Amino acid sequence: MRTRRHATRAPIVAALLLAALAEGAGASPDREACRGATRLRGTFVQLTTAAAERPRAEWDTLFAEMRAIGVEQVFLQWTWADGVAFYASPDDRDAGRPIVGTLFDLAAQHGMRVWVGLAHDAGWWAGIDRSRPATEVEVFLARRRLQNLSIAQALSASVAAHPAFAGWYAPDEIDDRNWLGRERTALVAGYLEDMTVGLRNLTPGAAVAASGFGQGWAAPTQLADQWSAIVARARIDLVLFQDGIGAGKLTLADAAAYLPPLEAAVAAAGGDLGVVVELFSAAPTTAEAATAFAAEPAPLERIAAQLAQDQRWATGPLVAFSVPDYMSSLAGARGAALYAAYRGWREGCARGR
Amino acid sequence: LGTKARGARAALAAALCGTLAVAPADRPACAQAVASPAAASASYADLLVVDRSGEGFVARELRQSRSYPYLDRANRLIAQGRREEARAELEAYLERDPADLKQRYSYGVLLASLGDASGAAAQMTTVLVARPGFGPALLYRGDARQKLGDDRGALEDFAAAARSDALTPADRERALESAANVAVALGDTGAALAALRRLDAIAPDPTRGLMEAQLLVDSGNTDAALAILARVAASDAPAATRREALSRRLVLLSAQGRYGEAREAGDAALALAPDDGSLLRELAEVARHQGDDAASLAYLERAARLSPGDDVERAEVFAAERAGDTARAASVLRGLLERDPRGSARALADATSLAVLEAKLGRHDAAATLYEDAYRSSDERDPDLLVRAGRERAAAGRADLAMALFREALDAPATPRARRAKLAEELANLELASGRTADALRSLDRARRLGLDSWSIEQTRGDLLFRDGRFAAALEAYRAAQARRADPRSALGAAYALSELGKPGLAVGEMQRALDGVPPLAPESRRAALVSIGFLRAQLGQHAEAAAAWSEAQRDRLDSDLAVPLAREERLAGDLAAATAALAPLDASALPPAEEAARLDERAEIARARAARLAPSARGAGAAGVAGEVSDAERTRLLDLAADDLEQGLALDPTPDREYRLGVVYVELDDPAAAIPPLERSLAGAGPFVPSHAAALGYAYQAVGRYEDAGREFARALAADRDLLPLYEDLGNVRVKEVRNDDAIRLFEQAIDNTPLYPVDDEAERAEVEARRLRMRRQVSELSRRFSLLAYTSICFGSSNCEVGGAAPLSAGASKSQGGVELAVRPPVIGYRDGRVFELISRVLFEQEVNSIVPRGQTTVVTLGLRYKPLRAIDGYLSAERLFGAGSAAQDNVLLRGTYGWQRGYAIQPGVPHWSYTTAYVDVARTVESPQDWFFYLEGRQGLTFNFRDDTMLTPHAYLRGRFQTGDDEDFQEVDMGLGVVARWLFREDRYHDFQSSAELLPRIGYDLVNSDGRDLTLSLTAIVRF
Repeated sequence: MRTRRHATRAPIVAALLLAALAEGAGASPDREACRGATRLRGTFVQLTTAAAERPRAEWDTLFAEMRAIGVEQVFLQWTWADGVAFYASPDDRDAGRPIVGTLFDLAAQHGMRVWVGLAHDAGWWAGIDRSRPATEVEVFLARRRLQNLSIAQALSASVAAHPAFAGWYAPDEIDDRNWLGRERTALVAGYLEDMTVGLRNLTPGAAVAASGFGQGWAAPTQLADQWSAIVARARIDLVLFQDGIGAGKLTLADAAAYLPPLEAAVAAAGGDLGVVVELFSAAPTTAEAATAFAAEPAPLERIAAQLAQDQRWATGPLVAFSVPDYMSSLAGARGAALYAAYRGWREGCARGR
Repeated sequence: LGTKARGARAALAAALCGTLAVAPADRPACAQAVASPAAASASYADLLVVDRSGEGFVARELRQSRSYPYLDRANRLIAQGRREEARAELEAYLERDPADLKQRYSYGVLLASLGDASGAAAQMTTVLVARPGFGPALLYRGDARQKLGDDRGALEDFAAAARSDALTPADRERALESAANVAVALGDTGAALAALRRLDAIAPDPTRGLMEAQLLVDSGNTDAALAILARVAASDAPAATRREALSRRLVLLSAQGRYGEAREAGDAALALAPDDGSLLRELAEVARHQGDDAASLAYLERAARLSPGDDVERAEVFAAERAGDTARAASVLRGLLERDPRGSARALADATSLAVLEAKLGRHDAAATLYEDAYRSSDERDPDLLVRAGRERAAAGRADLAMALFREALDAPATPRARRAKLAEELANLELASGRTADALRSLDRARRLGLDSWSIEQTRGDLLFRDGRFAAALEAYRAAQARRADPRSALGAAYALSELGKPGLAVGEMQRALDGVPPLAPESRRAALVSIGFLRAQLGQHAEAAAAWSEAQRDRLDSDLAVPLAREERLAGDLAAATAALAPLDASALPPAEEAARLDERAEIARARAARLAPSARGAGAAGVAGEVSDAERTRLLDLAADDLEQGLALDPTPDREYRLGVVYVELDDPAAAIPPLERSLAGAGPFVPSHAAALGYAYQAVGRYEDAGREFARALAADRDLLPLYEDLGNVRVKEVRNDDAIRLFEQAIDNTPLYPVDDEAERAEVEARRLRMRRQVSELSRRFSLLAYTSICFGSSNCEVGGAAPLSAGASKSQGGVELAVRPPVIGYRDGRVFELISRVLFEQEVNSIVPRGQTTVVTLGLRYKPLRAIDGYLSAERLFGAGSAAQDNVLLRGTYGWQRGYAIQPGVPHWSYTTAYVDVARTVESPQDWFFYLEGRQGLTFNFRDDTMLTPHAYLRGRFQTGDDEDFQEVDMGLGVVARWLFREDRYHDFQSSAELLPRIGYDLVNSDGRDLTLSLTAIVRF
């Protein structure tokens, strides 16, 4: 019942948003309020044990919902995490929750393509910490490379030839602090280079995507230089820059400072810049739960503002983080309401074109 | 001048009537008076002669008899004043004699006198039809038309009448005056001026100058008006007229800013009317404009004395205030208020005036009370009084009361929204001044909600939020301020907020914007910004830029706090001279201990950086010899200086980090013993455990042979950080030394697993990693070996020398044709101890038939013994074996033996196609029991090994060997040399072990250089299997 009530209100919310945005901008709804409304083309999907055990029918519903709001690309954030392989792993040490195959089939069925994320490492941030000597970070990165490539090797046979296969996604997030400076940037660029070489040896011609974010630590030009070096050396096809709004790492104004030079740098280095649109609002951390991440669906108005800004600089797709978790019928009543509101807004804008 | 102009128009109308010599009255009455004189009309009537020349006598008599009686009665009635009756008679007469223009004119005059304007106009029109341009008729018709409201028609008749010759001068003047009068009423200034100018020509009258001047003023010709007024003032006109002319000059000149002339005119007017209050006030105003406040006050005082009472006192207040005598003004007002303390509007005004004066006198509380009372006593209609009261309370230092008043004003319903917004801002400023930042912030927010939108509001909000530690909100406010105005202060605020939010990359951009902005920041702000941007750039690794910012910050004034950071950034930017210079101005003796220690730290780092530039790796190959020695000495000197500085720093302020850096300097000085104490202290100190520091200590221990300690440090470093890659092997080596072989094996295996983790950027590095891996696999092989089995056979072909005596083959190579099997077992714990090997060995040895591998059973010897390798790095063994003669020809004995081997290029070199091969081997043995014999065997080989698939080697070589035997048995000496080829196939290897087994085939051909049994050519084939 609660979900239905939210869903009923959603078109009204969308209509109000259209009006409010148009009024605020002093322009017609078609032009201003709808800027970026139809640019969201992808979403991340985080695989967990619970998600992997979800019935296929639920996944099917999710994919149908995603398709209905224009999602064409699915980024599996990882296919291995904390000892759990979400594919048929040949390694006996892995707990198996094979779901990747199902997702590929559903993606193909709904006309989507899938980017395959590799291994998630909870120790990533400790491993790359700037206070560690570069030599140790380099060793850590080498471990990551081996782990990712071993997973890619295990997966390549089943996914590389699949019609829904879009490419590989390096799940390690490249931030703007730990890699600042020529020496550290070279480390991460070398890591990604070795990985892309390894991935392309496994699947010649496959695209490779990587993601990163800014938190205000690096100057915009520094971040652009960092990514320029990475893309040029590692031949990354698609850089996904997290707008950071949901996590509170950046404000819209902050992100607006980073995106233009980043777009220019990535394009000059031969890559595409996609932007990850965070659909959530991170809950403030408390003393009791300082390390736990808690979030809830963001208001549509804020998401619309993100889309309007992000689309200006994205040469690649705008990718949600994430439709399943924050904007779908699987995401609880508020997620369902956001889905309905977003869909209503998007369709209203699409009709108004 | 609008009001004055309207007043002047009324005066003009009055003046016009005045010129007609009648009492000032309204225009119809005035006109009526003009039309009265009957005498004049009678004489004018006489001018209207009727031409009756064509009339006959009878007709004349008949006409006269019919009409005259009426005329006669009319004249008599008129004479009797019975004009209404006369009117009827005249009317009857004119019915009978309509052509009598004279009587018709008289009849019109009578009608006019009776107030029948319409009838008069009609009769005069009839007259004028018969006598066009007849002036008196025009004059009467003009009057009639004016009465009937036909001003335009009247103006035309008066103008035409003035042109008529029939009028007397007096009536012409009257006609012109009437024309001027009507023209003024019509607003036809031109016609009025024209009439007045004609009047002036025929009958000059200064009084009419006032009219003309006013008309000129109305038509915009003030200068002409002033000239006429001057003329009037100078004329002999009545005093009132001249005073009026002077007063008007005063007004006009004052309006033109010609205060001197105005004052002159006013003073002249005042001479004519000393008690004219309004003139005095005008003069006071003019004097004020002239800056002559004393004269102004004097005029006002005179004016005030003219009308005693409250108003006089108020004028006195005004004057006193104007004269700057605030106390007197306040005193008079207080008196007024005491008489009328409340209620009246006038009292309210007096109270607010007094409040102003009290404020001027610095009696702010009194002023505030007056305002408050005024507010309360006026039914709280004017919240502005509360605001004024609040301001006075604030000025009196009563901030709490002031803020309460502002809040009351804010909440008052009568306060308009826009005013409330401004009040909220003012209240915020007050709260800010009182240190109530939270309240100030709330007030500013309220001002924003009420619609106030300004840079200053946002900027102040930013400052308050920042002060409150709400940096994200502060940033938002500063950005809002920036959106409203590109002010560098907003950029500066944003930069500080971003900095606090941990966003130096964004902060540095804003800071730079603030520094580059216009108008420039205040000097102190700019300096602070330069200091901050230096730290931000240092955080971002922009060392040269950070140094530049700090250098600029210190351009005008040295900041000792910046000296060390500046030196650091200069050093990191590579400019060691600048770094040294940055430290130079510091007075070490004046610095507190911690700061002096920091200075010493930085000086030590600069010295280390200089030393690093002289490091062997940096000097290059060409800097050998004397120059190299000089550099080494200089490097040592610099590092000694660094150590000395750090020691001093530690004495002042011991910290773990400083201890560590001192230890590192000693390591760089190649003095690990000296490095150990500070490194130990660094790890024992407070603070987080740093694995790399423990590793450094471990290496120092290792360098001085304290392996156990080294192992402990390596182990805990590795436990804390598994990415310290070299430690696996190094700890493994320590464990080997500690004879913890299983631990060593595990570590080497981990190290082997880790080899893909080594960074490999080129082929040389790849080869190095492979070499490391091979080395460790061989280590593991060696450590894990529990036994070895060796079987061999050597076939000697065809030579007589293939059989040597009858003795059993006691030592290796003692026979050219022999075979055997050797089993060596390493017992646990003692079997392998850091390169020292202890084995139990057992051998079965036998000689073979010539050209055959068939053993000669009677020569078989079985041995059992011990073998020991006493030296870690030297491949030398000592052994003792009990020989059991298993064959009939064999004997029991005890064999003592020593062997030594040296080789280069013996082992496989993966990936290397070929290499040089050199071996040397010495074997000395002696049987202890009878027969007691000495056996010597020496062999050297020099060859070239070819590598096939990394597991097969082919080594063609030349050899030289000697065999000697002496003792109880027959002596024997042989030295031969020849060529051979070793074909060796390696097998039994895995991930962690190098090849553990091999099979070897060795064909040889040699010739005896010396042989006690006779020289010969020998061909042999030896096969060896090691497992």
